Amino acid sequence: MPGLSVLGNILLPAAFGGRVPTNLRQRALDMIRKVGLERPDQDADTLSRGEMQRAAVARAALFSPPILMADEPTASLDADRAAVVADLLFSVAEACAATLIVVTHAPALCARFDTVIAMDHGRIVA
Amino acid sequence: MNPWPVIVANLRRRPGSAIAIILLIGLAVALGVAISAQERALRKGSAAAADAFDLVIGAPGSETQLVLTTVFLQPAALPLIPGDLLKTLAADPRVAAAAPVAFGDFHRGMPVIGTTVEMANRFGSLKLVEGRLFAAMDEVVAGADANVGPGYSFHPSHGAVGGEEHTHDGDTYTVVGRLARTGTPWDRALLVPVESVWETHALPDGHESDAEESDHIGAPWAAAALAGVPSIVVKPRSVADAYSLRNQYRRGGTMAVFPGEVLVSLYTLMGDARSVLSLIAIGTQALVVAAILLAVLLSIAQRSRQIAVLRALGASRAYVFLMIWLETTLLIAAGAALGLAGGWGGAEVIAAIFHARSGIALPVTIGSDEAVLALALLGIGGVLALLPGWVAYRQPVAAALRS
Repeated sequence: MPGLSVLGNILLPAAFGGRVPTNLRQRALDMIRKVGLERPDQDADTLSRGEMQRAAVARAALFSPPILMADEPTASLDADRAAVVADLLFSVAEACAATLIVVTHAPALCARFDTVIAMDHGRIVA
Repeated sequence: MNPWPVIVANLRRRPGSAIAIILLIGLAVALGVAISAQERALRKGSAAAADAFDLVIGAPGSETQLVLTTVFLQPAALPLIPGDLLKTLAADPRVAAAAPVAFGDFHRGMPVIGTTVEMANRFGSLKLVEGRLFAAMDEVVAGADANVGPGYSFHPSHGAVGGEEHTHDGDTYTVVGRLARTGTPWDRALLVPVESVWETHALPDGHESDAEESDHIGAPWAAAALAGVPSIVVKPRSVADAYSLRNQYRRGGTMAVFPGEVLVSLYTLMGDARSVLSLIAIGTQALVVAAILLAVLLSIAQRSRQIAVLRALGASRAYVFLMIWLETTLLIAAGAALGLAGGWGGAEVIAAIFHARSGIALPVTIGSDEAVLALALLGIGGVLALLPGWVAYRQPVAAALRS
Protein backbone atom coordinates (compact mmCIF):
# COMPACT_ATOMS: atom_id res chain seq x y z
CA MET A 1 0.00 0.00 0.00
CA PRO A 2 1.60 3.24 -1.09
CA GLY A 3 1.06 6.19 1.23
CA LEU A 4 1.68 4.05 4.31
CA SER A 5 5.00 3.46 6.04
CA VAL A 6 6.65 0.05 6.10
CA LEU A 7 5.35 -0.48 9.62
CA GLY A 8 1.89 0.75 8.62
CA ASN A 9 1.83 -1.68 5.73
CA ILE A 10 2.83 -4.60 7.87
CA LEU A 11 0.23 -3.74 10.52
CA LEU A 12 -2.48 -3.07 7.90
CA PRO A 13 -4.18 -6.51 8.05
CA ALA A 14 -4.71 -5.95 11.78
CA ALA A 15 -7.00 -3.03 10.82
CA PHE A 16 -9.32 -5.34 8.92
CA GLY A 17 -10.76 -6.73 12.11
CA GLY A 18 -10.78 -10.17 13.62
CA ARG A 19 -8.50 -11.45 16.34
CA VAL A 20 -5.34 -9.39 16.80
CA PRO A 21 -2.37 -10.95 18.62
CA THR A 22 -0.95 -9.06 21.57
CA ASN A 23 2.32 -7.10 21.26
CA LEU A 24 1.56 -6.82 17.57
CA ARG A 25 3.54 -3.66 17.09
CA GLN A 26 6.65 -5.07 18.70
CA ARG A 27 6.29 -8.25 16.64
CA ALA A 28 6.01 -6.15 13.49
CA LEU A 29 9.15 -4.21 14.37
CA ASP A 30 11.01 -7.47 15.06
CA MET A 31 9.79 -8.82 11.75
CA ILE A 32 11.00 -5.74 9.88
CA ARG A 33 14.46 -6.20 11.36
CA LYS A 34 14.35 -9.88 10.59
CA VAL A 35 13.65 -9.33 6.88
CA GLY A 36 16.49 -6.83 6.76
CA LEU A 37 14.62 -3.55 6.39
CA GLU A 38 16.16 -0.64 8.25
CA ARG A 39 13.55 2.09 8.65
CA PRO A 40 10.05 1.10 9.81
CA ASP A 41 8.80 4.65 9.16
CA GLN A 42 9.96 4.72 5.53
CA ASP A 43 7.18 5.38 3.02
CA ALA A 44 6.35 2.23 1.06
CA ASP A 45 6.45 4.30 -2.16
CA THR A 46 10.21 4.70 -1.83
CA LEU A 47 11.06 1.01 -1.40
CA SER A 48 12.87 -0.92 -4.13
CA ARG A 49 11.18 -4.02 -5.56
CA GLY A 50 13.33 -6.35 -3.47
CA GLU A 51 12.52 -4.36 -0.35
CA MET A 52 8.82 -4.46 -1.21
CA GLN A 53 8.97 -8.24 -1.49
CA ARG A 54 10.67 -8.43 1.89
CA ALA A 55 8.06 -6.16 3.44
CA ALA A 56 5.37 -8.41 1.90
CA VAL A 57 7.00 -11.45 3.50
CA ALA A 58 7.04 -9.70 6.86
CA ARG A 59 3.36 -8.74 6.47
CA ALA A 60 2.40 -12.31 5.52
CA ALA A 61 4.25 -13.80 8.49
CA LEU A 62 3.00 -11.33 11.09
CA PHE A 63 0.04 -13.44 12.17
CA SER A 64 2.06 -16.69 12.27
CA PRO A 65 -0.09 -18.37 9.64
CA PRO A 66 -0.11 -22.17 9.41
CA ILE A 67 0.36 -21.96 5.64
CA LEU A 68 2.48 -19.34 3.86
CA MET A 69 1.65 -18.93 0.17
CA ALA A 70 3.75 -16.89 -2.26
CA ASP A 71 2.96 -16.18 -5.90
CA GLU A 72 6.17 -15.58 -7.89
CA PRO A 73 8.05 -14.14 -4.87
CA THR A 74 11.30 -13.81 -6.82
CA ALA A 75 9.96 -12.53 -10.14
CA SER A 76 11.55 -9.31 -11.35
CA LEU A 77 14.46 -9.73 -8.93
CA ASP A 78 18.03 -10.54 -10.00
CA ALA A 79 19.58 -13.84 -8.95
CA ASP A 80 21.31 -12.50 -5.81
CA ARG A 81 18.25 -10.72 -4.51
CA ALA A 82 16.02 -13.64 -5.47
CA ALA A 83 18.21 -15.87 -3.30
CA VAL A 84 17.91 -13.41 -0.39
CA VAL A 85 14.09 -13.35 -0.63
CA ALA A 86 13.98 -17.14 -0.93
CA ASP A 87 16.19 -17.53 2.15
CA LEU A 88 13.86 -15.18 3.96
CA LEU A 89 10.75 -17.15 2.99
CA PHE A 90 12.28 -20.38 4.22
CA SER A 91 13.52 -18.96 7.50
CA VAL A 92 10.23 -17.20 8.22
CA ALA A 93 8.22 -20.31 7.38
CA GLU A 94 10.48 -22.29 9.69
CA ALA A 95 10.15 -19.75 12.49
CA CYS A 96 6.35 -19.86 12.24
CA ALA A 97 6.33 -23.62 11.71
CA ALA A 98 4.28 -22.92 8.58
CA THR A 99 3.90 -24.93 5.41
CA LEU A 100 5.41 -22.93 2.54
CA ILE A 101 3.69 -23.12 -0.86
CA VAL A 102 5.26 -21.17 -3.73
CA VAL A 103 4.26 -20.70 -7.36
CA THR A 104 7.34 -19.91 -9.44
CA HIS A 105 9.06 -20.14 -12.80
CA ALA A 106 12.51 -20.03 -11.22
CA PRO A 107 14.35 -23.43 -11.39
CA ALA A 108 16.77 -22.30 -8.65
CA LEU A 109 13.88 -21.78 -6.25
CA CYS A 110 12.21 -25.08 -7.22
CA ALA A 111 15.38 -26.95 -6.38
CA ARG A 112 15.07 -26.01 -2.71
CA PHE A 113 11.66 -27.61 -2.13
CA ASP A 114 10.88 -31.11 -0.92
CA THR A 115 7.85 -31.42 -3.19
CA VAL A 116 7.63 -29.94 -6.70
CA ILE A 117 4.52 -30.15 -8.87
CA ALA A 118 5.11 -29.13 -12.48
CA MET A 119 2.22 -27.66 -14.42
CA ASP A 120 1.82 -26.97 -18.12
CA HIS A 121 -1.24 -25.20 -19.52
CA GLY A 122 -3.16 -25.91 -16.34
CA ARG A 123 -2.37 -29.65 -16.22
CA ILE A 124 -0.14 -31.38 -13.73
CA VAL A 125 2.69 -33.00 -15.69
CA ALA A 126 5.08 -34.15 -12.96
CA MET B 1 -12.47 -2.71 11.72
CA ASN B 2 -10.39 0.41 11.49
CA PRO B 3 -10.35 2.02 8.05
CA TRP B 4 -8.39 5.07 9.21
CA PRO B 5 -4.89 3.94 8.20
CA VAL B 6 -5.98 3.47 4.58
CA ILE B 7 -8.06 6.67 4.54
CA VAL B 8 -5.15 8.69 5.90
CA ALA B 9 -2.79 7.05 3.37
CA ASN B 10 -5.20 7.92 0.54
CA LEU B 11 -5.57 11.53 1.62
CA ARG B 12 -1.82 11.87 1.99
CA ARG B 13 -1.24 10.46 -1.46
CA ARG B 14 -3.79 12.69 -3.16
CA PRO B 15 -3.96 15.90 -1.12
CA GLY B 16 -4.74 17.97 -4.22
CA SER B 17 -8.03 16.33 -5.09
CA ALA B 18 -9.07 16.19 -1.43
CA ILE B 19 -8.42 19.92 -1.05
CA ALA B 20 -10.26 20.65 -4.31
CA ILE B 21 -13.32 18.70 -3.12
CA ILE B 22 -13.29 20.43 0.28
CA LEU B 23 -12.96 23.86 -1.35
CA LEU B 24 -15.77 23.22 -3.84
CA ILE B 25 -18.17 22.06 -1.15
CA GLY B 26 -16.96 24.85 1.12
CA LEU B 27 -17.74 27.50 -1.48
CA ALA B 28 -21.19 26.09 -2.21
CA VAL B 29 -22.08 25.95 1.48
CA ALA B 30 -20.56 29.38 2.12
CA LEU B 31 -22.82 30.87 -0.55
CA GLY B 32 -25.96 29.55 1.14
CA VAL B 33 -24.77 30.43 4.64
CA ALA B 34 -23.77 33.97 3.64
CA ILE B 35 -27.13 34.67 2.01
CA SER B 36 -29.02 33.38 5.01
CA ALA B 37 -26.85 35.13 7.63
CA GLN B 38 -26.71 38.36 5.66
CA GLU B 39 -30.44 38.62 5.26
CA ARG B 40 -31.00 38.13 8.97
CA ALA B 41 -28.29 40.69 9.75
CA LEU B 42 -30.01 43.16 7.43
CA ARG B 43 -33.30 42.68 9.25
CA LYS B 44 -31.73 43.04 12.68
CA GLY B 45 -29.55 45.96 11.68
CA SER B 46 -32.34 47.95 10.05
CA ALA B 47 -34.74 47.17 12.89
CA ALA B 48 -32.15 48.37 15.41
CA ALA B 49 -31.63 51.52 13.35
CA ALA B 50 -35.36 52.25 13.54
CA ASP B 51 -35.51 51.66 17.30
CA ALA B 52 -35.53 55.29 18.35
CA PHE B 53 -38.16 56.20 15.78
CA ASP B 54 -41.47 55.17 17.31
CA LEU B 55 -43.73 57.25 15.13
CA VAL B 56 -42.84 59.42 12.17
CA ILE B 57 -45.19 62.06 10.79
CA GLY B 58 -44.74 63.49 7.31
CA ALA B 59 -46.71 64.79 4.38
CA PRO B 60 -48.88 62.26 2.51
CA GLY B 61 -46.85 60.27 0.01
CA SER B 62 -44.73 57.17 0.11
CA GLU B 63 -44.54 55.68 3.61
CA THR B 64 -41.40 53.78 2.60
CA GLN B 65 -39.68 56.94 1.40
CA LEU B 66 -40.57 58.80 4.59
CA VAL B 67 -39.00 56.01 6.68
CA LEU B 68 -35.95 55.60 4.43
CA THR B 69 -35.28 59.32 4.52
CA THR B 70 -35.98 59.93 8.21
CA VAL B 71 -34.47 56.76 9.70
CA PHE B 72 -31.81 55.89 7.12
CA LEU B 73 -31.15 59.45 5.90
CA GLN B 74 -31.55 58.41 2.30
CA PRO B 75 -31.56 61.71 0.36
CA ALA B 76 -34.94 62.57 -1.12
CA ALA B 77 -37.00 65.72 -1.52
CA LEU B 78 -39.91 65.13 0.83
CA PRO B 79 -42.98 67.38 0.74
CA LEU B 80 -43.27 69.55 3.83
CA ILE B 81 -45.86 69.53 6.59
CA PRO B 82 -46.84 72.73 8.40
CA GLY B 83 -44.39 73.53 11.14
CA ASP B 84 -47.06 74.56 13.63
CA LEU B 85 -47.75 70.84 14.04
CA LEU B 86 -44.61 70.81 16.19
CA LYS B 87 -46.21 73.15 18.66
CA THR B 88 -49.47 71.20 18.64
CA LEU B 89 -47.63 67.96 19.28
CA ALA B 90 -45.50 69.49 22.03
CA ALA B 91 -48.70 70.41 23.84
CA ASP B 92 -50.32 67.00 23.30
CA PRO B 93 -50.47 64.94 26.54
CA ARG B 94 -49.95 61.72 24.57
CA VAL B 95 -46.59 62.93 23.32
CA ALA B 96 -43.45 62.49 25.41
CA ALA B 97 -41.30 64.26 22.85
CA ALA B 98 -41.56 65.45 19.28
CA ALA B 99 -38.65 66.61 17.15
CA PRO B 100 -38.40 67.92 13.61
CA VAL B 101 -35.95 66.38 11.17
CA ALA B 102 -34.99 68.71 8.34
CA PHE B 103 -32.69 67.67 5.50
CA GLY B 104 -31.10 69.12 2.48
CA ASP B 105 -27.62 70.25 3.27
CA PHE B 106 -24.41 68.31 2.92
CA HIS B 107 -20.85 68.88 3.96
CA ARG B 108 -18.16 66.69 2.37
CA GLY B 109 -20.71 63.98 1.73
CA MET B 110 -22.03 64.04 5.30
CA PRO B 111 -25.67 65.03 5.62
CA VAL B 112 -26.37 68.10 7.74
CA ILE B 113 -29.55 67.38 9.65
CA GLY B 114 -31.56 70.08 11.36
CA THR B 115 -33.27 68.87 14.50
CA THR B 116 -33.51 69.52 18.22
CA VAL B 117 -31.27 68.63 21.13
CA GLU B 118 -33.83 66.02 22.22
CA MET B 119 -33.57 64.14 18.93
CA ALA B 120 -29.80 64.57 18.72
CA ASN B 121 -29.32 62.56 21.91
CA ARG B 122 -32.16 60.21 21.06
CA PHE B 123 -34.48 61.55 23.76
CA GLY B 124 -31.77 61.10 26.36
CA SER B 125 -30.67 57.57 25.45
CA LEU B 126 -27.53 58.48 23.51
CA LYS B 127 -24.37 59.63 25.27
CA LEU B 128 -21.73 62.03 24.04
CA VAL B 129 -18.19 60.76 23.67
CA GLU B 130 -16.71 64.23 23.25
CA GLY B 131 -17.73 67.82 23.89
CA ARG B 132 -21.38 68.77 24.29
CA LEU B 133 -24.64 69.04 22.36
CA PHE B 134 -25.34 72.12 20.26
CA ALA B 135 -26.64 75.09 22.23
CA ALA B 136 -26.61 77.86 19.65
CA MET B 137 -27.55 78.44 16.00
CA ASP B 138 -24.05 77.95 14.67
CA GLU B 139 -23.12 74.85 16.66
CA VAL B 140 -22.95 71.27 15.45
CA VAL B 141 -22.84 67.92 17.16
CA ALA B 142 -21.27 65.24 14.97
CA GLY B 143 -22.20 61.59 14.67
CA ALA B 144 -19.69 58.96 15.81
CA ASP B 145 -18.45 58.25 12.28
CA ALA B 146 -18.45 61.79 10.91
CA ASN B 147 -14.83 62.51 10.13
CA VAL B 148 -14.74 65.90 11.78
CA GLY B 149 -14.05 66.58 15.43
CA PRO B 150 -14.86 69.34 17.90
CA GLY B 151 -13.43 72.67 16.87
CA TYR B 152 -13.92 72.05 13.13
CA SER B 153 -15.73 74.84 11.24
CA PHE B 154 -17.45 74.71 7.86
CA HIS B 155 -20.03 76.23 5.51
CA PRO B 156 -22.65 73.68 4.49
CA SER B 157 -23.48 73.28 0.80
CA HIS B 158 -26.86 72.50 -0.65
CA GLY B 159 -27.45 69.48 -2.89
CA ALA B 160 -27.10 65.78 -3.07
CA VAL B 161 -24.10 63.61 -2.24
CA GLY B 162 -21.64 63.75 -5.11
CA GLY B 163 -23.98 66.07 -7.01
CA GLU B 164 -23.55 69.70 -7.89
CA GLU B 165 -23.18 71.69 -4.75
CA HIS B 166 -23.33 75.34 -4.00
CA THR B 167 -22.07 76.76 -0.79
CA HIS B 168 -24.29 78.83 1.44
CA ASP B 169 -22.25 81.86 2.26
CA GLY B 170 -22.64 83.62 5.50
CA ASP B 171 -23.26 80.88 8.04
CA THR B 172 -20.37 79.05 9.56
CA TYR B 173 -20.96 76.00 11.71
CA THR B 174 -18.57 74.85 14.43
CA VAL B 175 -18.53 71.29 15.74
CA VAL B 176 -18.87 71.27 19.52
CA GLY B 177 -19.31 67.59 20.30
CA ARG B 178 -19.45 64.05 19.11
CA LEU B 179 -22.15 61.47 19.83
CA ALA B 180 -21.69 57.81 20.71
CA ARG B 181 -22.13 55.22 18.02
CA THR B 182 -25.66 54.09 17.15
CA GLY B 183 -24.87 51.73 14.25
CA THR B 184 -27.16 53.77 12.02
CA PRO B 185 -26.67 56.24 9.16
CA TRP B 186 -27.09 58.98 11.79
CA ASP B 187 -23.51 58.17 12.85
CA ARG B 188 -22.27 60.01 9.78
CA ALA B 189 -24.58 62.99 10.10
CA LEU B 190 -23.79 66.48 11.34
CA LEU B 191 -26.65 67.55 13.58
CA VAL B 192 -27.49 71.23 13.80
CA PRO B 193 -30.37 73.18 15.35
CA VAL B 194 -33.36 73.03 13.00
CA GLU B 195 -33.68 76.80 13.31
CA SER B 196 -30.36 77.28 11.54
CA VAL B 197 -31.52 75.14 8.60
CA TRP B 198 -34.62 77.30 8.30
CA GLU B 199 -32.61 80.46 8.54
CA THR B 200 -30.13 79.27 5.91
CA HIS B 201 -33.04 78.89 3.54
CA ALA B 202 -34.47 82.28 4.50
CA LEU B 203 -37.44 80.79 6.32
CA PRO B 204 -38.84 81.92 9.65
CA ASP B 205 -36.89 80.30 12.44
CA GLY B 206 -39.75 79.22 14.63
CA HIS B 207 -39.44 81.95 17.22
CA GLU B 208 -40.85 85.47 17.62
CA SER B 209 -38.52 87.74 15.73
CA ASP B 210 -38.53 90.39 18.44
CA ALA B 211 -37.09 87.90 20.98
CA GLU B 212 -33.31 87.53 21.21
CA GLU B 213 -33.53 85.41 18.12
CA SER B 214 -30.14 83.92 17.51
CA ASP B 215 -29.61 82.70 21.05
CA HIS B 216 -32.74 80.65 21.64
CA ILE B 217 -33.12 77.25 20.04
CA GLY B 218 -35.65 74.42 20.44
CA ALA B 219 -39.05 74.52 22.15
CA PRO B 220 -41.08 76.46 23.03
CA TRP B 221 -41.93 77.39 19.47
CA ALA B 222 -43.99 80.28 18.18
CA ALA B 223 -46.68 78.68 16.04
CA ALA B 224 -46.96 81.56 13.64
CA ALA B 225 -43.24 81.57 12.92
CA LEU B 226 -42.71 77.86 12.31
CA ALA B 227 -41.56 76.92 8.83
CA GLY B 228 -42.55 73.65 7.20
CA VAL B 229 -40.61 70.48 8.02
CA PRO B 230 -40.32 67.27 5.99
CA SER B 231 -40.62 64.95 8.95
CA ILE B 232 -41.40 64.92 12.66
CA VAL B 233 -40.25 62.11 14.96
CA VAL B 234 -42.66 61.52 17.83
CA LYS B 235 -42.04 59.63 21.02
CA PRO B 236 -45.45 58.67 22.41
CA ARG B 237 -45.99 58.14 26.12
CA SER B 238 -47.51 54.67 25.69
CA VAL B 239 -48.38 52.10 23.08
CA ALA B 240 -52.02 53.16 23.19
CA ASP B 241 -50.95 56.77 22.67
CA ALA B 242 -48.85 55.69 19.72
CA TYR B 243 -51.84 54.11 17.99
CA SER B 244 -54.19 56.97 18.74
CA LEU B 245 -51.62 59.49 17.49
CA ARG B 246 -51.09 57.49 14.35
CA ASN B 247 -54.83 57.34 13.69
CA GLN B 248 -55.22 61.04 14.25
CA TYR B 249 -52.33 62.12 12.03
CA ARG B 250 -53.17 59.77 9.22
CA ARG B 251 -55.86 62.25 8.19
CA GLY B 252 -56.00 65.92 7.37
CA GLY B 253 -52.94 66.52 5.26
CA THR B 254 -50.43 64.43 7.20
CA MET B 255 -49.27 60.82 7.22
CA ALA B 256 -48.17 58.96 10.35
CA VAL B 257 -46.25 55.70 10.19
CA PHE B 258 -44.59 53.26 12.54
CA PRO B 259 -41.19 52.68 10.91
CA GLY B 260 -41.17 49.14 12.32
CA GLU B 261 -44.34 48.39 10.41
CA VAL B 262 -42.99 49.80 7.16
CA LEU B 263 -39.82 47.75 7.61
CA VAL B 264 -41.86 44.58 8.07
CA SER B 265 -43.41 45.08 4.64
CA LEU B 266 -39.92 45.65 3.24
CA TYR B 267 -38.75 42.45 4.92
CA THR B 268 -41.53 40.53 3.19
CA LEU B 269 -40.14 41.75 -0.09
CA MET B 270 -36.62 40.95 1.04
CA GLY B 271 -37.77 37.50 2.17
CA ASP B 272 -39.00 36.77 -1.33
CA ALA B 273 -35.66 37.78 -2.77
CA ARG B 274 -33.95 35.61 -0.18
CA SER B 275 -36.09 32.64 -1.13
CA VAL B 276 -34.96 32.96 -4.72
CA LEU B 277 -31.31 33.35 -3.70
CA SER B 278 -31.59 30.42 -1.30
CA LEU B 279 -33.00 28.23 -4.05
CA ILE B 280 -30.08 29.19 -6.26
CA ALA B 281 -27.67 28.40 -3.42
CA ILE B 282 -29.32 25.03 -2.77
CA GLY B 283 -29.20 24.27 -6.50
CA THR B 284 -25.50 25.12 -6.48
CA GLN B 285 -24.91 22.78 -3.57
CA ALA B 286 -26.80 19.98 -5.29
CA LEU B 287 -24.71 20.46 -8.44
CA VAL B 288 -21.46 20.47 -6.49
CA VAL B 289 -22.39 17.34 -4.55
CA ALA B 290 -23.39 15.60 -7.79
CA ALA B 291 -20.12 16.60 -9.46
CA ILE B 292 -18.11 15.38 -6.50
CA LEU B 293 -20.01 12.11 -6.39
CA LEU B 294 -19.14 11.60 -10.02
CA ALA B 295 -15.49 12.36 -9.31
CA VAL B 296 -15.48 9.88 -6.42
CA LEU B 297 -17.11 7.21 -8.58
CA LEU B 298 -14.45 7.76 -11.24
CA SER B 299 -11.74 7.56 -8.61
CA ILE B 300 -13.13 4.18 -7.52
CA ALA B 301 -12.37 2.88 -11.00
CA GLN B 302 -8.87 4.32 -10.63
CA ARG B 303 -8.51 2.72 -7.24
CA SER B 304 -9.92 -0.66 -8.19
CA ARG B 305 -6.45 -2.19 -7.97
CA GLN B 306 -5.81 -0.77 -4.54
CA ILE B 307 -9.19 -2.02 -3.37
CA ALA B 308 -8.46 -5.47 -4.81
CA VAL B 309 -5.09 -5.58 -3.04
CA LEU B 310 -6.77 -4.71 0.24
CA ARG B 311 -9.30 -7.48 -0.32
CA ALA B 312 -6.45 -9.90 -1.16
CA LEU B 313 -4.72 -8.95 2.07
CA GLY B 314 -7.79 -9.94 4.00
CA ALA B 315 -10.02 -6.86 4.08
CA SER B 316 -13.72 -7.70 4.00
CA ARG B 317 -16.22 -6.17 1.59
CA ALA B 318 -17.63 -4.27 4.56
CA TYR B 319 -14.19 -2.85 5.27
CA VAL B 320 -13.83 -1.53 1.72
CA PHE B 321 -17.36 -0.13 1.80
CA LEU B 322 -16.77 1.61 5.12
CA MET B 323 -13.45 2.99 3.95
CA ILE B 324 -14.87 4.58 0.77
CA TRP B 325 -18.00 5.87 2.48
CA LEU B 326 -16.09 7.32 5.43
CA GLU B 327 -13.52 8.99 3.19
CA THR B 328 -16.18 10.62 1.00
CA THR B 329 -18.30 11.72 3.95
CA LEU B 330 -15.23 13.07 5.72
CA LEU B 331 -14.44 15.31 2.75
CA ILE B 332 -18.04 16.54 2.63
CA ALA B 333 -18.00 17.22 6.38
CA ALA B 334 -14.76 19.18 6.09
CA GLY B 335 -16.27 21.15 3.19
CA ALA B 336 -19.44 21.87 5.15
CA ALA B 337 -17.44 23.10 8.15
CA LEU B 338 -15.28 25.25 5.90
CA GLY B 339 -18.44 26.58 4.23
CA LEU B 340 -19.97 27.50 7.57
CA ALA B 341 -16.85 29.43 8.54
CA GLY B 342 -16.43 30.89 5.05
CA GLY B 343 -20.06 31.95 4.88
CA TRP B 344 -19.74 33.70 8.22
CA GLY B 345 -16.57 35.44 7.10
CA GLY B 346 -18.17 36.39 3.80
CA ALA B 347 -21.24 37.80 5.52
CA GLU B 348 -18.97 39.81 7.85
CA VAL B 349 -17.12 41.24 4.85
CA ILE B 350 -20.39 42.15 3.12
CA ALA B 351 -21.64 43.67 6.39
CA ALA B 352 -18.48 45.77 6.68
CA ILE B 353 -18.84 47.03 3.11
CA PHE B 354 -22.54 47.70 3.69
CA HIS B 355 -21.76 49.60 6.88
CA ALA B 356 -19.17 51.70 5.10
CA ARG B 357 -21.69 52.61 2.40
CA SER B 358 -24.92 53.02 4.35
CA GLY B 359 -23.86 53.52 7.94
CA ILE B 360 -26.16 50.72 9.07
CA ALA B 361 -24.33 48.27 11.34
CA LEU B 362 -25.27 44.67 10.47
CA PRO B 363 -24.92 42.21 13.36
CA VAL B 364 -23.89 39.02 11.52
CA THR B 365 -24.53 35.81 13.44
CA ILE B 366 -24.50 32.17 12.48
CA GLY B 367 -27.67 30.62 13.81
CA SER B 368 -29.54 27.37 13.61
CA ASP B 369 -30.73 28.13 10.06
CA GLU B 370 -27.16 28.08 8.76
CA ALA B 371 -26.18 25.05 10.84
CA VAL B 372 -29.21 23.19 9.45
CA LEU B 373 -28.12 24.14 5.94
CA ALA B 374 -24.63 22.70 6.46
CA LEU B 375 -25.90 19.62 8.30
CA ALA B 376 -28.49 18.93 5.60
CA LEU B 377 -25.75 18.96 2.99
CA LEU B 378 -23.68 16.63 5.15
CA GLY B 379 -26.66 14.30 5.61
CA ILE B 380 -27.51 14.19 1.91
CA GLY B 381 -23.83 13.82 1.01
CA GLY B 382 -23.48 11.00 3.53
CA VAL B 383 -26.43 9.15 2.00
CA LEU B 384 -25.19 9.70 -1.55
CA ALA B 385 -21.69 8.52 -0.55
CA LEU B 386 -23.26 5.11 0.03
CA LEU B 387 -23.25 4.79 -3.75
CA PRO B 388 -19.46 4.77 -4.34
CA GLY B 389 -19.17 2.62 -1.21
CA TRP B 390 -21.56 0.15 -2.80
CA VAL B 391 -19.62 0.18 -6.08
CA ALA B 392 -16.43 -0.59 -4.18
CA TYR B 393 -18.26 -3.25 -2.19
CA ARG B 394 -19.42 -4.98 -5.38
CA GLN B 395 -16.10 -4.84 -7.18
CA PRO B 396 -14.81 -8.32 -8.16
CA VAL B 397 -11.36 -8.88 -6.67
CA ALA B 398 -9.82 -11.33 -9.15
CA ALA B 399 -10.59 -9.25 -12.24
CA ALA B 400 -9.12 -6.10 -10.70
CA LEU B 401 -5.98 -7.92 -9.59
CA ARG B 402 -5.41 -9.33 -13.07
CA SER B 403 -5.80 -5.98 -14.87
